[in-house]
Amino acid sequence: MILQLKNLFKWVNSGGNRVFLLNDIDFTVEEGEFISIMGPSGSGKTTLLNVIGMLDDFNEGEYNFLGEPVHNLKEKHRSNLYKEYIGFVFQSYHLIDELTVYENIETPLLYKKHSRSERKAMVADMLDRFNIVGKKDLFPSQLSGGQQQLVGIARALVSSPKLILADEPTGNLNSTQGEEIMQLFKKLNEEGVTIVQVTHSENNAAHGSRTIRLKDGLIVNN
Amino acid sequence: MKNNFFKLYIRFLLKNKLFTFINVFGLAIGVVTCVILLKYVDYQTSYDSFYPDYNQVYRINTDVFKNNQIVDKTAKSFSALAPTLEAELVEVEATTRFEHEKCLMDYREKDFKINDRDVLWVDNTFFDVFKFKILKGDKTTPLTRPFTTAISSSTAKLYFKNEDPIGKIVNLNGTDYPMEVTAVFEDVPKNSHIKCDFLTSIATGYSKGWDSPNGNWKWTGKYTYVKLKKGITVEDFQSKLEILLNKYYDSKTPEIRVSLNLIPVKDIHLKAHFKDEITPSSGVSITRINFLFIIAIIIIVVAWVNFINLTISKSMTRTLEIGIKKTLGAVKFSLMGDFLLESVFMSVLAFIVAVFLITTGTLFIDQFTEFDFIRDIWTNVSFWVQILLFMLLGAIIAGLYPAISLSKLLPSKTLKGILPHQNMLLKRGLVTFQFIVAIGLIFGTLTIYDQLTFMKTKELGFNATNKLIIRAPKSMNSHKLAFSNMHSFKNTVSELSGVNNISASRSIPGQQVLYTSPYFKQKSKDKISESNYQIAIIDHDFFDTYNIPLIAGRNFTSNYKNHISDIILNEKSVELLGFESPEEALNQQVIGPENKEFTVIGVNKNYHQHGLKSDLQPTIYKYVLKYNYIHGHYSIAANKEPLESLVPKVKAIWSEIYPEDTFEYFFMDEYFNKQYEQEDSFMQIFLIASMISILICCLGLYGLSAYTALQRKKETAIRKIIGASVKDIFILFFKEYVYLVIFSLLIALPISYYMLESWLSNYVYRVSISLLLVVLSVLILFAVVLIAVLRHTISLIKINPSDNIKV
Repeated sequence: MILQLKNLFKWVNSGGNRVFLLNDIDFTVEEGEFISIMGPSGSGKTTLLNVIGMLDDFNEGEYNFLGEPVHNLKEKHRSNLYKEYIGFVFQSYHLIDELTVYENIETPLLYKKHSRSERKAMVADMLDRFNIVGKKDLFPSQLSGGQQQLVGIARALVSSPKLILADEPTGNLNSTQGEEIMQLFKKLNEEGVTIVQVTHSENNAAHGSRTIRLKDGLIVNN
Repeated sequence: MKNNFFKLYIRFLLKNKLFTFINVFGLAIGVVTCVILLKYVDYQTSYDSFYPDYNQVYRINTDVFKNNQIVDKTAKSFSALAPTLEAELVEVEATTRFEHEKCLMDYREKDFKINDRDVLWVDNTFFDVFKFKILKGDKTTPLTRPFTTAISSSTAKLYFKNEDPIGKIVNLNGTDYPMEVTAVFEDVPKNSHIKCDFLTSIATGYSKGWDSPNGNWKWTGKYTYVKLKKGITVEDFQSKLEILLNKYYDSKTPEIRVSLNLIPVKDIHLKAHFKDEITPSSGVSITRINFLFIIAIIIIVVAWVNFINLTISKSMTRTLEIGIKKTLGAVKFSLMGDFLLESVFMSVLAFIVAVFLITTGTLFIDQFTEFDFIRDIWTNVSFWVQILLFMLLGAIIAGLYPAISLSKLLPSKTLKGILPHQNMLLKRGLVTFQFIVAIGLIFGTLTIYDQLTFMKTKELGFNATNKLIIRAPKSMNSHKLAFSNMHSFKNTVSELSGVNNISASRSIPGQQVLYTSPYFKQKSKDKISESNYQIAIIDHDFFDTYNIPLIAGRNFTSNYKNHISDIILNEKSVELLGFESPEEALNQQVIGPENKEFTVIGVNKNYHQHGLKSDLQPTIYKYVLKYNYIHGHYSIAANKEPLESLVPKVKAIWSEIYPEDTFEYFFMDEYFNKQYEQEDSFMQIFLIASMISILICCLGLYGLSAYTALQRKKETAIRKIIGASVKDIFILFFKEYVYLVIFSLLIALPISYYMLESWLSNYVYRVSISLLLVVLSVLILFAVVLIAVLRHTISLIKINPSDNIKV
């Protein structure tokens, strides 16, 4: 088991009313799973993903990640935890415009203790794996959307996380590019990486091993 | 005019209060500082150019050479020169001579007296050369008769209130000189090297017998001015002067010769810092004026740079507005016009702030007497017009770049929210420039401070603390009781408790020694040394009073008559006269001016008569108080008792012995440090300039970092998600400034090193430029940068990535 959410609540107070963003979430992710989170706009998909990714707080409940009680951890400890084990992939890629492909992939390694030669080897490995060696000196603006997302995934994977969190990874791509990304995810999953993705598309969800549907912060099926 | 332009812009400014404030305020202080400095420079360079034919008027200075080495430059020349010039050279339109003296002037009828009035003993041709307007009295020949005086209009007001001054009698230094007022002249403007309250006729001196109309070719006793006829060049006249000099002047010593030089009267204030200047401590040199001019320009450029930088940064948030305007039909040219109009509008706002700043600033400036010129600022319309024009000019220059670069943006891109590529190189360049200026000015301030402290704290060779100095009584000038009164004053004061010693001397440390002469040599040697000797007139208590040790021989004794031909030398003159050692000099004969022989009875240790701005001078001490001691001083050495408490006791004795004279005193240590006033005020100006440029720089950085923070929000969020810690983010943003500071340092260091080195080279005793101060300057700059960018860097560090990442 990688992570487990127990009776988790998140809310905001709006004009005296308590609006629940996440409502009594009970949810476990086992190692090697490929989970898709679906639901209409505003149902809390991204919020759930942010909570899992420890980018966002919650108000009540428990969250255990690899046996650590996240709800009890200090900020620093928590960031060490996600730095070590979680990789993020975004809908709009979020590459740093001023850095080249190579440098973008290298960035996460800079924030960990890796020597220069180690970093070089790890980035080279990623470039190789995603067939983008030839593009390593280009800037994000010189790439197509699909290529940018490849770089985004390479960056997420470079520090060998246990879990990939992807927020609509194909949302900005055309269908061919989107399909390629999904194939890639599937391949990664088969190689042992656990993936949780948020998606609108049933097609994409079908690539996963399990689908969770959210509505108004509640899990409607699991 | 599109009527919604101002509406739109004012709303924009109100919405962006921080931007508006920083931009307007930064520009205003920059312009105000610059204009005030320029005004000051203008004032200093305007000296002596207020009379109609000033460019025909020259002063004749004298250079003294010994074995072809220049040993002395004096502002005065031979008193026989002017009459000879008038008689022999047709090029001369008029000449005039005068001597300067500070006198006690009293209007006995009303028992009104003030000491230290500036009195010039002038030829009756004074008004032919210096065309000051005569307001009342004899307009043609006011100063021909003996015992006549012309007074300035403010002096007239001071002494005679509403009475008619013409025909009144004013006494000069007691009762021997009753001077009749024959004319009142218009006050001499402040920007003149001549300062005078009274012009007294030199005919008085002729009738008293201490001066003669024809003068002499022996010593340089008078300021001599010549007005050349139109069209005469200096070079021509100079060669005629030389011929004349060879004809009449005989140095009697082959090693010594003199030359006469013309200096335009307009240049005297800034360029002539010779011996015997009328206002020796004006201290404003051409170098200093140039320095200030450069600083003024630098500050205004820094302010404009700031303005450009902020405007560019801010305009990046307005690209959407430009896109909309373009799609609605605005053409490039009209957009440019809008942007320029905005800069102009901003400048007008800054002008209003500038008016406010100057109003409050003049209160502050009041402390600096040098800034006198600024007081009439409210009535000075041209000053304000200048400032306004200056600001508008700057606005147009500064507005041009943003106007051009923004007006050519394509609406198809800006409307989609795609930001144009920022010209980072330009922005960094501008910030670097500001850093260079800041480092240079901080470094300059620190170095000047270092030098000043060094000069003020260095061992001087005499004891300046606990010394009460009293100006000698003017009424005793050439009085028969002068000598006996001096003795009774000294004796009575020395009996006071708390007084260790009292001495009478012509000059005191920190003052120019009145007499110098190159004519000294050992009797047994033919060779004459290449220097000019100061002749200090002292009494037998002088060395003890100032704790100056004798290293060989003996001091003078109380009976001056035994010492008519005795001298004491300082170490420097022992060396220059060619004695092997102080002991060897003892009892040797030295030949002085007019072949008089002197015996060396002692040698004293060198001390700094003139502070540390000039080298140790060879000095010869004589005890010749049989003459009265014009402009002399009493120096009282007190023991621990506070000096102030001694003053009333001494004053009581003074009023007994010198009832005619005002009692004026000061303290040696304060007086001595007044020599460094020039450096003090120079440092203050540097300090203010660097603080202002740092302030502007700070405002700019603060504004810039706000935009950087805005622009890099998303990037920071991404980095945080990927795992950047607080420290990583901080380093990321601060690193950029570190690079810029280091780069600026590389440029600023050699330039400021060169400039400071050239400034320091004016000092004989100087500090070497310290590496420590460089480090300190850089640390100060870092601290400033840190403060300026801290707020926005923290705002970046604190952002929550999940708020900024979903696009």
